[in-house]
Amino acid sequence: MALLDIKNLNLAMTSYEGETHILHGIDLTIERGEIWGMVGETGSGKSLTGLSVSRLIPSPPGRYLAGSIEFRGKDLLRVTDKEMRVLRGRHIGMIFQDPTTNLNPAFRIGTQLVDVALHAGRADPSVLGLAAGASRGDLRRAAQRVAVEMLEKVGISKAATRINDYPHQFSGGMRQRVLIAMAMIGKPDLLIADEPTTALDVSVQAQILRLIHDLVEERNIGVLLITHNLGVVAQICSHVAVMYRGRILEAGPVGDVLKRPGHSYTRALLNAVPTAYTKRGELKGLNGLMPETAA
Amino acid sequence: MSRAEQTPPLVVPRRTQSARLENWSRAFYRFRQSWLSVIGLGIVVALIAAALLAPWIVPYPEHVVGGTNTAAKFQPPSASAWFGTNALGQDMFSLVLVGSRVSLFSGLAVVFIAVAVGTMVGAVAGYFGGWVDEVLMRLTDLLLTIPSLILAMAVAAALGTGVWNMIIAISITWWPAYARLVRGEVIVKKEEQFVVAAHALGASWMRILGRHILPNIVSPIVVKVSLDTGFAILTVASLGFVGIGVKPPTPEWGTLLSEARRYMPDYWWTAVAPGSAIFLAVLAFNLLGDGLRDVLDPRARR
Amino acid sequence: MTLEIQNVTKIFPGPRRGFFDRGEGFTALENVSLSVQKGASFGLVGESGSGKTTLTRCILGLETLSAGSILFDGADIHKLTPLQMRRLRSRLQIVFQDPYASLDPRMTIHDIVAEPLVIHGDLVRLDARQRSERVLELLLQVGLTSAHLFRYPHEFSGGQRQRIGIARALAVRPEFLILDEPTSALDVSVQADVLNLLHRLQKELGLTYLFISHDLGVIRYICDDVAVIYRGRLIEQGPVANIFDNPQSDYTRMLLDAMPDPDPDRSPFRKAAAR
Repeated sequence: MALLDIKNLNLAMTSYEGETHILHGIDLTIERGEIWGMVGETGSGKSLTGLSVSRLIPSPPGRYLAGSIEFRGKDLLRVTDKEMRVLRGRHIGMIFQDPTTNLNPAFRIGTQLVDVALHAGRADPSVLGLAAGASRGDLRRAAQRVAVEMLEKVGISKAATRINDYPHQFSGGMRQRVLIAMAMIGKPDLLIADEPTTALDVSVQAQILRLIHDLVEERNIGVLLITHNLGVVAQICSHVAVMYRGRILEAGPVGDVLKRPGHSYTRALLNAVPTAYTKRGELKGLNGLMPETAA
Repeated sequence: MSRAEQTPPLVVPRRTQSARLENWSRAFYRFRQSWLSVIGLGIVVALIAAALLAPWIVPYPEHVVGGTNTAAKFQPPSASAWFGTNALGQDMFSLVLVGSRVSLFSGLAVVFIAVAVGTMVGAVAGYFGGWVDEVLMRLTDLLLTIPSLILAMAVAAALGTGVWNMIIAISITWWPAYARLVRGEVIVKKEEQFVVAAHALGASWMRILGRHILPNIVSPIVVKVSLDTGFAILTVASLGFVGIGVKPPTPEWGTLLSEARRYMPDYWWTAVAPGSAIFLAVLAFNLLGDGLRDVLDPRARR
Repeated sequence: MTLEIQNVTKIFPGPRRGFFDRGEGFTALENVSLSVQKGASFGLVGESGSGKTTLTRCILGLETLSAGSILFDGADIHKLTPLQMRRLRSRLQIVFQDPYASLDPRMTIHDIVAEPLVIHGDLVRLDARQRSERVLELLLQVGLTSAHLFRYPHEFSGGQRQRIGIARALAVRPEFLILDEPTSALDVSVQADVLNLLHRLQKELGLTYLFISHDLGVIRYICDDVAVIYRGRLIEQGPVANIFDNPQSDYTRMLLDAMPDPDPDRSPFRKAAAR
């Protein structure tokens, strides 16, 4: 049984213009230990796919026309909100693009981490290393300990004291580490990272990518990494899916897709990235390459 | 390759209104999402229409100018007098209907003056900062510290009664709130990139403030105006209630309510009629304001 | 010689402590010197907090300098009269990073692009019709059409908006463009188009570019010379090929290493796994 199995996912969104069909039959299977990169341009539907897995698309305006998202054999589109909340805190971790807006500026880093740890611990005390039926005091103490541990784990030095800092005292890279720590506290099986390094400097990006890479090696989790940066995909992903206008054009192991792209769009995307060897004038945009009704 | 080579002499198309129209219809689409605000808008439109048409639709015009009919005093609501009659036998419906003219007009005028003065002061203070800001904001703080109704009563008492004196008295206490709001918004917008871009282009401060900053802070002002209009009407009525408003026989909601107080609870309709009118107006402007907030909030823009 | 930055230092005053006292200031730029030759494209590389944005604000005259001077064609831009400053602004334009924030959401594309023509009306002397024609000419030049003229910014994609920003910057026929991360908010495919557009415009109009970016690939693609800035200081500068192929400082080397390459075989993780 696959960790995550998305089958024929079809999503429509309602807006002023009426209902638009956005995702056209997404198929994707993620196993443990795999890092799936999902690349595509703005509006290709890659973020909506990620949000669908976390079931964070409100309905309305969203509506699933067909398909299923099976997480360890359970269809996420059909579980209750309560079950989903447990899954989100415990089994599916999420990281978003902007580390600033996803931390509450009014609370200490520690408070926010402990909250998440408590939420996960209430659902499953083993996450905090406790037996079932642990007392509230035990839970709180364990949550505190786990919060510090996680912060150390994501590479924040002097975690025990920095846990009392407020988000504004952290740099952008450190805030993103905090969010990763938060996502990892529940020991999730699946991590969804939506443009986790886009807002960060390249030097910090390299550190965050290493962190995600190491987490996968160590915990054997599955990752869905949504990004528009092919360089990031080439660096840490094991597999890649190329999205365009709500469809997956091409998917497979990174070595195959990026080295021997089967689709002209993938090739064009690769040609559009300026690298150390691109000569001036060689860079190709995608203007007019893909017709409006691309299949 | 470039389209410039294919296009013979430049033909500038005519400016169309379609984009603007579409913006409006989009805005209305979002507004319609909340039926409460649609009701608010409906009531506001109905109230204003009633106030405008009052002289032509009023059932007993003679009562409005002071005519009495003591034979028919304290009639309960009936088909001939929908809201009953008062101590002088005047038709309450006619009085409330015509009273809406003074109440709505003064309410709107107060807010209009407050917006004009407040925006000017706030924009200048926010844009220039430094000592200009200090001086103007301390002045507004000073006015904000005095309870507005009491200040309005003092000013109105000093100026004497009358619609305009009352409007001026209330406006004096109301503009500081707008100055504060506008100053804050201007300070935020001043740092926006399109304002920096205008600076870099060499635009003058008048242009930056008038063309770039103020048009972009219209939304919060409009929302506040709508929410405030209800309270302005309430304040006008309060002054009328305590006797510093419009002089009888000109009907006004607050004055009507004040007179009715003496006949409570036996002749309840004399109080309920103007009271409900005030309630309805305040509620409607608030509902409208809430709806407008949803429409105009740039974060909700899509 | 077009733009010369000489020993520029910028210290922001610290927070107020009490009535007269101020806390320690923050040094955003420290003794920065560089010169951009006419017709060249000069790259400035730096990460967030490096001071590159402060430098552009100084060049635009939006910040005062704590020390040093900035010369444009030999004239110190911080010693100009307001009229001279306005003249300078017509020759020195900027394209901003975020095409979503740099266009006034309440103005049509026509009005946005026409604005510099109105502001510098005493210089360009166009009547309303000629202005509209010039606006259309500019839109066509950057790859947009007359159908876009009276639409609002929110109706455009990021790439199109950046083209609008470029058209606005070109309106008064400047000689010098500051490009402040003009492609970092765009998709790679769109970025390629905008970079090629900038390259073409430079050739056609003989522009001088100061190109600010954190993306070394982009800098390498578009620039002749490059300077690396870190925490307010210039680490190294020189021709692009020299700096990129033979970096002298650890910081530049680290930046080059951290640049994600779309070739999976060059991934540091895979290299480690293969070993």
